[in-house]
Amino acid sequence: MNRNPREIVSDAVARFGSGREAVIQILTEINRELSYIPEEAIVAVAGAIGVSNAEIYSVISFYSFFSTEPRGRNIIRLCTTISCQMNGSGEILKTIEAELGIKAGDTTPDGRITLETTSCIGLCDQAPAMMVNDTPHTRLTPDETRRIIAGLE
Amino acid sequence: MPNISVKINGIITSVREGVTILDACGTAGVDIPTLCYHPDLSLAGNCRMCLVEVEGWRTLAIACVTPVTPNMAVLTHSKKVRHARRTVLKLLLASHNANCSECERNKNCELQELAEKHNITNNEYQTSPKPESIEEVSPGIMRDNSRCILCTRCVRTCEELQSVAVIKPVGRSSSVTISTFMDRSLNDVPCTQCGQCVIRCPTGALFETSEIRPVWEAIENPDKFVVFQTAPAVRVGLAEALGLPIDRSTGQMVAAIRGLGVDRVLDTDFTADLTIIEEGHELISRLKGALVDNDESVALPMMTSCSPGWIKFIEHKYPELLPNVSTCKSPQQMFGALAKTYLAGKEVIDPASIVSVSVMPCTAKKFEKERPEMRDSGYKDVDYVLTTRELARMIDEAGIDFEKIEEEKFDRWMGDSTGAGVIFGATGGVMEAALRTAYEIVSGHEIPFDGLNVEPVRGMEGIKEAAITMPEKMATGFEFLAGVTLKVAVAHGLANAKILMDKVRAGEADYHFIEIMACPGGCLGGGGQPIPTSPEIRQKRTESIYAEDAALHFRKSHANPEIQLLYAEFLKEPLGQKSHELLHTHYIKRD
Repeated sequence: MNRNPREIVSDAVARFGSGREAVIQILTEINRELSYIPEEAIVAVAGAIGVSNAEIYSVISFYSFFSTEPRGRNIIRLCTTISCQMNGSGEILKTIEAELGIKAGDTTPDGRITLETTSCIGLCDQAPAMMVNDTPHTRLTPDETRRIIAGLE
Repeated sequence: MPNISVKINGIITSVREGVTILDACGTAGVDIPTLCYHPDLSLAGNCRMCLVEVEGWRTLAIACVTPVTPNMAVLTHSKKVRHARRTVLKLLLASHNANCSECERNKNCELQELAEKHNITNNEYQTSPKPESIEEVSPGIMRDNSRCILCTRCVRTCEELQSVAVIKPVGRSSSVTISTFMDRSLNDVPCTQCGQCVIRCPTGALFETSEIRPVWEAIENPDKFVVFQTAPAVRVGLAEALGLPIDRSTGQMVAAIRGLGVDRVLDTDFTADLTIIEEGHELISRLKGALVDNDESVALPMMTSCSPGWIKFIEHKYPELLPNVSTCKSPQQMFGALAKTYLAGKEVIDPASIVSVSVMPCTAKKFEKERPEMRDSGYKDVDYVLTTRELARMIDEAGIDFEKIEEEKFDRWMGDSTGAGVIFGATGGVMEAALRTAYEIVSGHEIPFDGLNVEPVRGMEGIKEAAITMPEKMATGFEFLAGVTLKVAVAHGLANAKILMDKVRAGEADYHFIEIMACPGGCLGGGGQPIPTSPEIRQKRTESIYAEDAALHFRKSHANPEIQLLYAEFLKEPLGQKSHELLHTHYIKRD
């Protein structure tokens, strides 16, 4: 059972404070616990920090790992920044989309997997790369990618 | 800071240490193109229009954010600089929906002007089709992000000047747009509709929701009786909106509006005077409640209610202070309610055939007229609101030569105004007008300021305070105010309003009366006024407003002969039954 978003925010504020510098840590807590940041949580964070809702929304929108939409049990984050792109992330994206029957940004109807693209995840030397939940996967090929997807609960 | 010497295009100039290259070039009289820079706002340095070359530097410098250092040598128009500026402009133009002839800002657009100045004719960066218009409508303000160049002037305006912060950059890199919380419409976020973003937008990404077409249709319809009212600040902005120097142009404005084919040209200043009578009596009645009757339900300080951006702001942000807001409708809405009742009677016209149009320096007035409670005449009290800019466009369309037109006077019944009504257009003006009248009502004497000019509430300081001690001998019925010191405060710009409201809410303010105007400078700096705006421009408009006040025969609202007639024949008394029906209102809490 997930905790109420407001409860997560007040716990996070107690831990990290209510200064502007605490915003990222608070948002990370919510995003980790709920897999996304619901509207109610944004309003609570804005109230606690003393800034507008739009400002918190703006911060969330900047970071690929934050989402304002509910996501599946597993999150695939495929890097599409330049090094990965030059090493074939486009083909990997097509593979995953075909395999799951969804587009980047969507979740499978059974709620099993959300597919997202992300900015650089620091694995340029092993491109193309993706994160599946908290695990990095590197030097991806279409076959390897299909194998990884098949193994997800 | 000591002065230092810098070389600009080879010429040695002495400037204060720490100023930016842009400021130093200004001192030297060298013009640098800018887009994201605005004199009212913090520095962003994001558009790169103001790039200059600094001797010995590897890269070009951003003039608006780079401080000068001793003996710095700056080149403002070298080959390298000109090439860089052209590239910057071409990149901005490649993703800009340049539908100039359909754009509200055609010929008053900073991007268009710079493109022309830098001779951009073909653009090799135009590799993809231009973005299509994406229009989003709210009662006062429209947005078209396909014209946005992401300079963030609107974002900084909303946050720094207005403390509203409903628009922010959303997304990252090439997908950034200026958007709102959850990408909602401006109707569904706490936007005050003040339009300060509109008058600072360098392009046509933000503009007023135009009502020019329906107003023309009403004028062209012989069965309609079209009544115009003109706000105080319009007469000091209209000439400027028509490309003429900043000056007051009341008589020409009246003649030009009549030239459009309007049936009656009347004055919002008349209902500004009326507001003073009603609001002055409301203040005295609240003071009596608090000081004599010890009535704890009386909310003080009382706050003005003329500025619809301010009203929407307090409804969103400080709903617990709504009892402090005067119940008086704004002059626009008082006018609307009287146009279809009192004026209809005087002119013997069916109120159903009256089309009531107001010309305002304001975009929030377009929102205000749509409030469901603004129908006390039995009709929509104000049908259409035009900004100063829209009126100028109509005058242009009608081919009226504003410079040569003979001055004319307002029509009767609701056309008389006093200097007190005129100064509503400047920050501090409502306070000054109220003091001129209220002091005289309670003491029986004119307010003891030289020439009736209440200087402490004038000027551009963000928050102004004044204290006026009443004489020991008062008029009959007002003895309770003998020797009382009346404390007042005035704020303009919602960021300043917020500072005052936080003090009031914390119980740290002992004012009796507060004037708030949503826009910096008051209405003369309103979101419906000519573009651009700057402290100097607002100063000039302010001087015009006070010159108009000084030139008028009547300077006090209660001396207005048509106001006296209105009370004698129609309203009977201030705060009377008729006033409550037509001239007073209530407010609602908004999320």
